[in-house]
Amino acid sequence: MVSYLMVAMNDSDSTLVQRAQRGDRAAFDELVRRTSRLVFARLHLDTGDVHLAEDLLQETLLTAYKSLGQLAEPDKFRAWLLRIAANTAANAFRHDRRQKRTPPDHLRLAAGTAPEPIQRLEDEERRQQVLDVLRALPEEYRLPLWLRYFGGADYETIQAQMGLTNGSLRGLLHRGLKMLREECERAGLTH
Amino acid sequence: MSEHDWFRDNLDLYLAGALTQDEVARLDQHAADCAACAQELARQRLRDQQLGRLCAPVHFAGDWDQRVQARWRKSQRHVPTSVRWALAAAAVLLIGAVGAAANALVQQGMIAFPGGELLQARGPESSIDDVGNIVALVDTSESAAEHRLAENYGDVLLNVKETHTGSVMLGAGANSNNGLVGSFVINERNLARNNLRGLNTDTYHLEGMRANKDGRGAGGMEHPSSLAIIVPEGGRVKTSLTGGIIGGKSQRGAEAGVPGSVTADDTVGIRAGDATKPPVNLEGFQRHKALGLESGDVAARKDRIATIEFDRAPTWGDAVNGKAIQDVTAFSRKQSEKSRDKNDDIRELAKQQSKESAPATNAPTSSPPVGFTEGTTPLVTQSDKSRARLFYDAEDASLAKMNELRAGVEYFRAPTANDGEAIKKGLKQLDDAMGKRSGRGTGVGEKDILAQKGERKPVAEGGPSDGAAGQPEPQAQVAQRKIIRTGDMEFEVSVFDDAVAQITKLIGAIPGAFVATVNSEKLANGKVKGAVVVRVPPEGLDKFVLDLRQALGKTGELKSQKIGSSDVTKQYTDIESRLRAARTMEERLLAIIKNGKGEVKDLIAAERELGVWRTRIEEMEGEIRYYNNQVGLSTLTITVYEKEIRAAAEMVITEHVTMKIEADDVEKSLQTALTAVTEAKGRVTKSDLKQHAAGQLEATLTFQVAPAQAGAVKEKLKTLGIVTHHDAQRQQQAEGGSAPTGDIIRSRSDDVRFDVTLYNVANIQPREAYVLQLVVTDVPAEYRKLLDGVSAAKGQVRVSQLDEKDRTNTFAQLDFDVPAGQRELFDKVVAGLGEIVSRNTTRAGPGETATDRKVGYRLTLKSEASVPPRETLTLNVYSLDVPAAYRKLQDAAAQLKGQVRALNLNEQDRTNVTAQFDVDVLRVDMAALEKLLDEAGEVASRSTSRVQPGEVASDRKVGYRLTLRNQIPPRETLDLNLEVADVERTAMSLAAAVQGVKGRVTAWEGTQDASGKAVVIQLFDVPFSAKELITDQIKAIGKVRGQKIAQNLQAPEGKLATAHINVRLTNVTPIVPSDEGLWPQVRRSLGYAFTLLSVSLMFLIVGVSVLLPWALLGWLGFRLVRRIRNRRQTTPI
Repeated sequence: MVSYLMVAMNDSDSTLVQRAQRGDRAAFDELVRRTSRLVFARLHLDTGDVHLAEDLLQETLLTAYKSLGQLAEPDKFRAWLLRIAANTAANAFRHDRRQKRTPPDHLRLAAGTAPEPIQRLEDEERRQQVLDVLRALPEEYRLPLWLRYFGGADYETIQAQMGLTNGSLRGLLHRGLKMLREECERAGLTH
Repeated sequence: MSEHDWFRDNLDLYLAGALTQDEVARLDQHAADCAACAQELARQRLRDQQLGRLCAPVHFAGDWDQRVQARWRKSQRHVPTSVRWALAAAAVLLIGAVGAAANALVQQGMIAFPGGELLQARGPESSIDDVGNIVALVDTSESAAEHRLAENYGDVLLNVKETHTGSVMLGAGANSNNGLVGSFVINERNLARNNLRGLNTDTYHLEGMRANKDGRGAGGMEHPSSLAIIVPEGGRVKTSLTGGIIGGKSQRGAEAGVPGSVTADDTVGIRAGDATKPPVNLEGFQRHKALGLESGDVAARKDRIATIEFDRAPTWGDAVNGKAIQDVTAFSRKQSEKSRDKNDDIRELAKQQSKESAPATNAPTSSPPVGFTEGTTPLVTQSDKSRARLFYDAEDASLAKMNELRAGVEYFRAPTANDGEAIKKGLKQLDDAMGKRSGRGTGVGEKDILAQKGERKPVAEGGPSDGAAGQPEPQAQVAQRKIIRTGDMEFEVSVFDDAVAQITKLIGAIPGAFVATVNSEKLANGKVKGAVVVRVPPEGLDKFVLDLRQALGKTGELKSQKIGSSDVTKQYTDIESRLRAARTMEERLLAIIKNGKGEVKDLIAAERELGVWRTRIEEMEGEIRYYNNQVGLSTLTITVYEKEIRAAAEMVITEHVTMKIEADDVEKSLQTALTAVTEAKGRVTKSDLKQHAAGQLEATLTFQVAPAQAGAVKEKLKTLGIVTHHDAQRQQQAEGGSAPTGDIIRSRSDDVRFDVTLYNVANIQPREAYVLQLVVTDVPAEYRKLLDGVSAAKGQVRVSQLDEKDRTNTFAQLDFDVPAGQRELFDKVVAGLGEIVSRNTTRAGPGETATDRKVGYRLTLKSEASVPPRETLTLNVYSLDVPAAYRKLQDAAAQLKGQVRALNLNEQDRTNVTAQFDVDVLRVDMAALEKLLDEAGEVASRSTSRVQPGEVASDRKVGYRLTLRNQIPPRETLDLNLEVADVERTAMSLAAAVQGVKGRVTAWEGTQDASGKAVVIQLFDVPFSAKELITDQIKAIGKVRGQKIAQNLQAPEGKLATAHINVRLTNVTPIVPSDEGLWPQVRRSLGYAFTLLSVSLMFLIVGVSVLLPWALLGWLGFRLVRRIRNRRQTTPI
């Protein structure tokens, strides 16, 4: 834990990447902490399946860890990581061999109140609709909005995960939320 | 922008928490001020919450980070792929190793299974029947399918057949009709295999017997120890086993129970393994010699051996199963009670002569062929060809004990026709040894045998009654023979009376002998001669003769001896029988006379007849007495006479004179000699005159004159000529009869006898002859001159021969004798003829007939050319121009009048021109020839040979043997190996350089192979002076890889000296060229790879086969355990 703490919160991503490239496990753990939600968001967006996204998250992290040495520009760690996630998801689809995955109880996501089965089905359907709406939005808005609603993240968390400055995120959110509201209203998801 | 617009525009950011504190305060303020905006905020918040709820299931839980980290770390612990591969490889290797190990174990036969020995012994080899008998085993041949096991309970026997493969076939069977029962056949193939594995402790070797059906295999045991019989571990053997144990070879030979000496060659033991049952399987065999039954503890009771002899081929399955033995046992018990006090350990129990006419086939068990009768009745075995005999331990033969028999059975080969006699003989000997009379061959039935048995008695108690009765018979037969022995001996002794006394003394020592007669007479010379007749009992005759010879041999000498005998048995018995008949007749006649019946005439006739018969009887009795006398005492006649000593009456002296006289006139001399003899009043006994060839006359004269005249005659003869031989011999001879010894012997001289030979010298060889060999220039002329000279000197030519083969080679032989006075003259003449190459003087030996009046010459004249020179020079000459030198020499030879002996010029090879020139020149011309040779070339070698001193040779000439040649051996030979870039061009330049110094290229050979390797070999001959120069040039051309220099100091030096340079030019090539193409190597390695792959695969498969069942078992066990545990957990107690 000491080493973990020593990986201070205020170390920049690029510093952490360089340390991880030198074999510092703690640094990579911190990087995972900083980006896991983002990667998960990305994977969930791509797959629409929570469990699959979880598996692919691990796979992505593993791949990233192994090939961290190939990362030439530590500044672009997030983009690189997301590209790996995209590739992993694409591979998963291509091989279609993710039939048997870790049991769902491995990573318990926050569940809402236990609705009735029919209600659950409806919710699921609408949730997929929301995902579709998100996917229809321009690329840059999808992840912050996903984190906002699916991830239930607050502004600071989103900022940390995205690795963005306050202004950039604010602009993104400003435009993205507006578009989302309009799209959702158009799709009849909200009133 | 109005405040409302700002409010609505930032409403989303507000809800998202993206506004700063100031902005939040501003917005909250505006919402408080403006109701419409506050309402808009509420609606927007609701919408936002709606959307959030909709997506809520995906919301990250609070411990998301921890979970992700945990799972991430866990995934980190996953075995890396490389390690997985390594593990997989290790697993494969492990499986392979297990497979290899299992393979090795199987291959070495180290995997033994429980009961493995039986498994191994089995197959065709063995089985154990219900009663524990090991009944079969053996063959290990390939045709296992043909072998069946004998498994016929209880009375199972070995039924061995010879199969077509020549191996053993075992079968069970209750049928002996196949005629093969009881025969083992062992063949060689079994030898190697019968050492069954896994049976080390109890493997016995079984001796086999050959099937006898076709008689082919009657040779008996084929291979000792060629079969194995199996006796499983100690206690497991319950009864007996068939087959055999070779006593001598088995490690447990003592236990094998074969008594006595059992040889590996002819016996097979059967061992009863256990006490509870006797060997039940004895019956399957024909056997004819003792089976050994060893009872009880072998070690303790070694001396009590019972022997069973089964001689029959019993019916299959009839008397087996121990019945025979049981009977024997029962009997032996009773018998033992009777014979307990006997010391015999071995007693004959049963003996049965076979009935040839009663084949034992399928006799019912109810009437066992093996039986026994109470009392002394032996075990009776019905048999077809042979006999059964059982010996047993009489002392301890209780039933219980006998049941404990350990039997050792000797099986002998099945008897054949040839064996029959031998067997009978052996059995008879056995019978005799047992003191029994053999019942064999009598053909008696069972009851007869039994009856006879009752009379039999063991040796110990049986008296010699039979033997005593029978013994005199042969002696009587001997006495009945009537033999008369007579003899004659002749001795020469010094004193007669002493000899007679000795004879009498010797006779006195012999009982019943006596001296019959002694005759003697005195001879004219006062010596005594006589004969002594002695009568000696026949048995003492031989000894007497020997003694006599010894006694008289001391002083006298045995001159002759003759001992004879005549058999008069026939005459004697004839007389005896006639005598008996005559006596009978006499009795009858007496009876007739006594009875007085009949007429007087008849009685008188009877009386007369009686008289006749009585006479005859007396005659015959006399004869018999004579014979008895003669037979009872042998007659020996000894003739003895004294020695006579003879002495001469007078001595006669005879003289014999032999003379040879050389006379000029033989006829006249002969007349003179005859006149002289007549004057001396001698007697001419022979006189003749012969004329031989070449005027040779010879007269011989033999005459005798009185001794007194002999000297005068001799002197007269000596005057006739030269006495060349004179020999006078005196001889004294004894003559007349026996003068008394010690007297002086008179002597007288007889007439002298002369043998005279007269001859002339016409054909007499001279005592001295000169043998000369001469070399002359003109042989025929000198020859003729000599002939004339000889005839002028009145010499005698004995041999003359002139041989003119050719003009240069003439030869003459002239042998002549001349009067001794002409000798000096002829010596001069001969010396003037020419060169005397040899001179030899011979003299006739003293004993030879020769004369000194003549001198002999034996001349051999030879022409000059036919005599070789004494000295010959052999020269080797090197010349650059051989033909020119040759011609010059030829001219010179003609000019010097040399004698050319050989000429030869060989110009076939321009580089190797040779000439041979052999010439003889006069010694004075040598210098001229030598000069010529110096001009022609260089003399390389010169050798001189001289004819042996004894041989004919001329000193005037000198021989030259010249060999001219232009091939001059190099003075130095240089081998150079050069590596150059361009072989061909270098070779050309080298050749040019060599020709530049007036050298020659003698050979040039080049090759170039596919790999581009080029080789050029050049041979140069260069003048020796240019050698250094050209060598340096050559060396400068390329890289010198090797060089060799050889100098020949015998080669000519100077102007003709050459150097020989061998140059080998090569281009640069790989140091180690591959001798194999790529493809064969690839193919070979592929082959290796495939082999290795298949071997590995095989190992893997074996390994998997070994491990898979284990894995399966483990997995099933694991499942089972888990299930049980689960059930326990779920099942309420």
